[in-house]
Amino acid sequence: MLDTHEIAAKKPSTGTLSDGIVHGKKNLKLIEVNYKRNVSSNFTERMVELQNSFSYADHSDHFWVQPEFSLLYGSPVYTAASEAQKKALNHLYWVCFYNYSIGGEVTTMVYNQLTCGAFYPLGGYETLCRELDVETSQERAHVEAFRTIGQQTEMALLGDLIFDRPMPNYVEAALIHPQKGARSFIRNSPAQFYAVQVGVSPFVASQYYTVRGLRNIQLKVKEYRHSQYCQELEKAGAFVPAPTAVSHFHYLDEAFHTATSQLISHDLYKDFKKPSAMEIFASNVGIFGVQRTMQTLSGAVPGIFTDDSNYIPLVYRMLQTPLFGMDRREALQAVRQCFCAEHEGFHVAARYHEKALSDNRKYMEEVDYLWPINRELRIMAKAHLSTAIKSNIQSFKRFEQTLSV
Amino acid sequence: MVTIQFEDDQKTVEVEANQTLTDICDEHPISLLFGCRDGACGTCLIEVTFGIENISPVTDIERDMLDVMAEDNPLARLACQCTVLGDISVRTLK
Repeated sequence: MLDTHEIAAKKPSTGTLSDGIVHGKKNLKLIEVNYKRNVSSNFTERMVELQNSFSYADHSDHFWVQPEFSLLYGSPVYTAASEAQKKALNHLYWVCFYNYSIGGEVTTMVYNQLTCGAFYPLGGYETLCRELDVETSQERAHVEAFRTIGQQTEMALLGDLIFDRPMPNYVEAALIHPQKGARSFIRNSPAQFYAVQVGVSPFVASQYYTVRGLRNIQLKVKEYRHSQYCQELEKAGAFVPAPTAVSHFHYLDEAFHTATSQLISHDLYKDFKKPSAMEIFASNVGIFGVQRTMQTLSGAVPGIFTDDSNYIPLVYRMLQTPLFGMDRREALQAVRQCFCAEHEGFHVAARYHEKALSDNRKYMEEVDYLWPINRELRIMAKAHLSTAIKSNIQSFKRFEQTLSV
Repeated sequence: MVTIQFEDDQKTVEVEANQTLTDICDEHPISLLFGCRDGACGTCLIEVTFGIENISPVTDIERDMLDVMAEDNPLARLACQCTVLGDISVRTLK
């Protein structure tokens, strides 16, 4: 990776200095370039337009992303599904994928502002803070587009909001199972400790962007494919469904955000004095935490890295809607087949997880002050097909018991 | 078919021409990391040590980045912006 931290020979090029701050010249130039390009782009605006004019019926007859990105892909339910049901499962994958992404967007909105609180008083980072403001407003627009299209899609297909998830606050969004809502104060306390440190320490603030970068990259691995799908349709002169285009524009918008994460996490922290033991601890807590959000595979939604326990009751409900028309016994049997036995969907999930892990490990190579467990991403690396299925079997048993009560 | 030599990995691959380096590296994993995959972050900065003429022209967005990241190096490229047209040899730029 390029060393952008070419320190000015005598005095820093811009900004008012606080003690121990030495601005990297290239960093500031790259931040400027990224900011200019982001504000002159119109990807967010295009997403908003698509969201405002979206009507599910106009886009229902097409796949929105490649078929392997479909809910329950490769499972017996998917194999037996009609063409129309397969398209519906493809659309519901899109809904679930972006509902999962909303957690990241929400944490970004808050942490962008918190980290500005640490950077802005130092002087010299005004453009960076403006870029983070722009990114925050973009994240909000992304969430609104995902939710609007997702909710309309669910209502059209299922007559109900089954996969829609309550908007989490930023602490909830940073947890492993945000769908379950707030946990106890004690269990949330590491996230709260981290949030406080990010707002006051420039070093910890800069290392939040390692956390954000890891999430950016795991998303990119899959959304790159969505973007390619959009471009292939465009090239072929074919109809581009609005959600496909939304994925593409989101991918392009997020490129600027990835650039910001890269610059801050890999280079900007070198501007600051050496971190204290407490700062190193806090930044590693954040990275440890984000690893835990990527340590499992989903066979239901191949490509998201959360376990399936939350999806078991949701898929059970979905199978009883008119889309599949199963009775309770049939739905339960189908859920068991989809979640508790190996199928192609798990292999798709494992393939993308492996790629994300590999890319994320490369990302960590040039970050300093990491605990070995974080540098090697040992928690994220725990994800495995067999453990995912084993865990699903336990979750299914617990779910089955709730039905018989 | 074209030949691509990845010097850092001491790996050579033979692939169809007119593919992007991003797609080629997804298919044949190497140590080079692609960050944003859209020319914004500069993570995939490389030096083309052989066959610079066998890569698609520098894009406008790429030029902005190269002007800052490698202004004195005419062999520098962002891998995510490159389509491979002929034989090349590349290495990561640090």
